[in-house]
Amino acid sequence: MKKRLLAIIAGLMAVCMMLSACAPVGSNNTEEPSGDGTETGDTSEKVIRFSIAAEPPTMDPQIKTASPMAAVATHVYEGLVRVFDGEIKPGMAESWEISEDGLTYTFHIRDEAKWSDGQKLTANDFEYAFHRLLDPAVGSEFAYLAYDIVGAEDFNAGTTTDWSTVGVKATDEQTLVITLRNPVSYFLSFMDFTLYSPTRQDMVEAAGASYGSEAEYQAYNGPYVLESWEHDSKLVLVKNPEYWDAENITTDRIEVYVVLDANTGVAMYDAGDLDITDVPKDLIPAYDTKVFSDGGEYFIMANWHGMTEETGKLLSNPNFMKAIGYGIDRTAFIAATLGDATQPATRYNLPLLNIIDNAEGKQVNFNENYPLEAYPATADLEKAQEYLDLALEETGFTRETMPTFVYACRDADSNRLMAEALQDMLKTNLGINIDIQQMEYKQWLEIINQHEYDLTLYGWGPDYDDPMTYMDLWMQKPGGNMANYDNPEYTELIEFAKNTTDAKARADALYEAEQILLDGGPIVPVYFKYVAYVQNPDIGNIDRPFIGGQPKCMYATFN
Amino acid sequence: MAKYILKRILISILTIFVLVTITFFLVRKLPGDPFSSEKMQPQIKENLIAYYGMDKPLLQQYFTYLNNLLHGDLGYSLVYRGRTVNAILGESFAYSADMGIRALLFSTIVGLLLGIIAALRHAKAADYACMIVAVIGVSVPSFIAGYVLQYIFAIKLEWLPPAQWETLSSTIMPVLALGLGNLALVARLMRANMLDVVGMDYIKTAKAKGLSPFQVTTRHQIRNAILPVVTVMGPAVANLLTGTFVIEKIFSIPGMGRHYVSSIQNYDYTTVLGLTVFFGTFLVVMNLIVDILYGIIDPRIRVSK
Repeated sequence: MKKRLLAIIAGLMAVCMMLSACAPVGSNNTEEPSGDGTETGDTSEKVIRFSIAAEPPTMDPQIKTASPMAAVATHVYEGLVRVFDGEIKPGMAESWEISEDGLTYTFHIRDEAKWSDGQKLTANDFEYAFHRLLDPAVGSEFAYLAYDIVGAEDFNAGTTTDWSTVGVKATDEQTLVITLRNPVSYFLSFMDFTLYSPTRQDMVEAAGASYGSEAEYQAYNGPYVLESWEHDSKLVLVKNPEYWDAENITTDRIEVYVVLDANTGVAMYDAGDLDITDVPKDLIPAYDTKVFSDGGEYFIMANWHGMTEETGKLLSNPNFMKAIGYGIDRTAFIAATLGDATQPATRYNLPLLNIIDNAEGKQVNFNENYPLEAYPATADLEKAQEYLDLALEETGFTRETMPTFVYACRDADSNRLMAEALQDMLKTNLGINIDIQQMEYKQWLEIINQHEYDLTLYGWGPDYDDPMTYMDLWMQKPGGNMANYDNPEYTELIEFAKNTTDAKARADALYEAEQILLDGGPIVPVYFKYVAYVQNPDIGNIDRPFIGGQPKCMYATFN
Repeated sequence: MAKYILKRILISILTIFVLVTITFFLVRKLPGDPFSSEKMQPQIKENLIAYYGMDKPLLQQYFTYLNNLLHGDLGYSLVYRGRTVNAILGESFAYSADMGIRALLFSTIVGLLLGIIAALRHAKAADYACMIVAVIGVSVPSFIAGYVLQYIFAIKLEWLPPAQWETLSSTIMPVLALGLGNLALVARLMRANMLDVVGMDYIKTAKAKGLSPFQVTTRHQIRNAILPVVTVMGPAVANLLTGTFVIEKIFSIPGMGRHYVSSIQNYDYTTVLGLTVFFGTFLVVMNLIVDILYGIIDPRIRVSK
């Protein structure tokens, strides 16, 4: 009897052991002990460890641009230029010429450019990368960002398969010529984007569909090499000895941890396991935090046509939208929902945004040079009432007959909280009723695309450092933009800005367009997202560009 | 017995087939699609739909999926480009299973001990102490336990690393937090069963035969009381071993739990299906094992079937 029982227990354990046989204990045991494991062996090794909030979807630079991926990609890849602290520096290209009409860019690839495996890097690697980016069969999610290149849109749509119609050519091993269909003033800084990193054809062909999914499938040309990638857990970057500027790279090793819970990130920082991590709002008061912007601009978006004729009538009325703009208290909204790192948005364009408005091609801050305060940071109830009265008069409604608006809300608790704060302000300050309908993220996107909503809180992040990245959203387009905004004057200004070579006229046009948009258009800016974070005080000179906001650690200083 | 097992296996295969079919069509009927995002453009979406073969008729896609499934191929993730669902599940399950087995062993052994002690010291201080532990285990959700443990042992006392799954010391807190619920369940069940069987005739007989109290307890009382505990082990193994999102999130462990949440949020069809197949199969197999074990432990069950 006893033997039987023992046998059963042994059997159960054997099953468990069998199942655990596949556990990756090997990879765990080889790690150095955690805790203060930064300085193993060589004590002079400079290490930076930071957290990202999600697993990078791929390391294939042409496919996606998600910010957890960019945090790694910016260190292991390098485009034609490199932007650090807002300054455009030579990258893989040591020099370049831009034609008079601003349409032709000739890049000279540096002679010493090499891949991490020692192979020479040539202009052909760039041409191949652009080919991959635009090839519809590759399915890049961001190919459209390159549509300003001659023939790119047709090639990506599959209307032509003739690559020679596309304006990207490696004329010899050292020269890459890119031709644009319209002048793009920010094109040079845009070439820093990891989407435009060079790619090795032989590596892509060897890895096939798996390219980008593991550390070993790619060759790297940036300051670092991705040494290991433990999915959902940790990415280790080590200095690339083949990098042309390796002597100026100060950080020897970068460890990137996937930490889903910001509270855990802070606990790891406390324990000395991380050097940089985001701080959730409840913990901000307890830490000496810094803030960075991830470029997120959040606004109330109205469906110009409304879900019903009644709501559409009001939502497309400029005075009604202005009433909402003056009726919400942005400062109170932020205090009640997001915490104190975020800033109220009194205009549409992000304060950090730059523009080139001069013939010298120098970037200047947009908001400083083109000042605008469309709405106050706190509510102006008097003005709000005034505009509401006007709107009601023009549309024939009264305060009592105003319809209830459907507010499409995303699923997270934080979205619910923000929706309720807006609901409360609109009700108390203006007597406007909204019906909050909460739904899953994908469902919410579908609702927005199908224009089955009246109001929502929407956010937009930049792809490049120019107001256009926010502004061209509201042009007229087939099927309507997300807000169904249909203003020929606005569209004309954006079209003009997209085609002119006169930098000053372009900046003026964008400035005017922003004023039109905020003068009762479908957008009411609410806040600019800033994220609080902690950083090891012994580490300095880390750039966090607002495009994505991920830390660039290659030139860090150590005390 | 062989016939019985064969029948159970056939039913299991049918169950999994029905599960796959229902899930396949249900996820496709969700409003929205996997490629939508704030920045998605119509042309790009078209390219992606073609890339993943979703431009073909749904039924054709279903049969393709079934065919691949029969070859053990769960397809590529729609979110993690280039990664197969097999790889995602394989790598993450390794962590979840490692953590789950530790939690299972810990919770079952400690739970049984607590239950036995409580029953033997019925209505005495030790009983109450054990049951307080059990009540706490049942009523405190694992994520609360996780945060509390992390706060005390990692942040305040600095005895253990706050997160990651690397050294032995880093595994202690997640295993405790994960196992607590099962520990409580086992302890309460064992205690109740021990008290149930103590009044049975065979216990009296054993005592009358002059067996020592130790022999009565180990040979007769525990042996008979343990049976219902084995019953709950099947689902418990499946639950503990296949990942728990909150614990993985708190302790930053790259297990399977996160994929249950993220795959459905992202409409990652292939991963959702892969997880369904995996979890379904796992649950069915565990129940099968329990049934067979049951037959071995208790001859009466074997005969009646």
